[in-house]
Amino acid sequence: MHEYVFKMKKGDVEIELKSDDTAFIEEQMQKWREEILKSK
Amino acid sequence: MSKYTLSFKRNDVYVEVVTEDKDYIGRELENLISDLSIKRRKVNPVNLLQETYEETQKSFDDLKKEKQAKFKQEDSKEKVEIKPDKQPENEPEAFSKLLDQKIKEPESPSEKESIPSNEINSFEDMLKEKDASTLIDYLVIAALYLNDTESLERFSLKQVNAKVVSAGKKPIDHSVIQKAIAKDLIKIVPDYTGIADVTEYTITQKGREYFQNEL
Repeated sequence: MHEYVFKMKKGDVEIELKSDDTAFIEEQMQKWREEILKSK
Repeated sequence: MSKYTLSFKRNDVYVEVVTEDKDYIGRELENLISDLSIKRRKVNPVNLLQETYEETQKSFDDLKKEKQAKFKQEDSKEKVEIKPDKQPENEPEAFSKLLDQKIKEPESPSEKESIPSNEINSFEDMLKEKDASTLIDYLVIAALYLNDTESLERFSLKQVNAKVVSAGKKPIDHSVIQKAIAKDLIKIVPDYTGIADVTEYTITQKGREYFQNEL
């Protein structure tokens, strides 16, 4: 099974989400991608 | 079952969460992102529940304190109400003084027909002046004498007999008292203090009229 990593970094803060659940990773990325892009 | 790992790193702080509960991971990720000011934090149901519990607890505590304060006030009020009942010993004296004072106050002539003081020399003189022949007569005369001359509005049988016997007459017994009461010539004075040793009597208006008209 493949493992997927979703990583976010801001300044000195790093958040990493790892899972072999593609649907979950995709869902989270969908959820936060736009927000991350919108954020200033 | 899938495995989910969430890690957080800041400077030399590293936190990693590994679980199979993706909902949990989803919530924690949301919280972390909110902390990064990327998105305004949504209401965390767990925190909300905690806050609600604390507010509720506080409101209960406040209500409890209010009730306790109220009960304390009520208790102190009850104590104040009980106080007068705990002073029975002084009441008879105060009552007697009040009664004596009242007796000594001048009375209007229309209310009662008392014997003019200048005409009264002694109980024996009263007996002589009136055509007293029965024990009831002696009782009424003694009652009137005690009330008007000695300012004893209330008197006992003993006090009556002190006068009657000293005048050389037979003592009054309870049967005579009962007859006089039945005729409404004298009446029993209720004992409100509850500590009187003897029964006390007083002359009635009818008793006065009896003295004036019948004797």
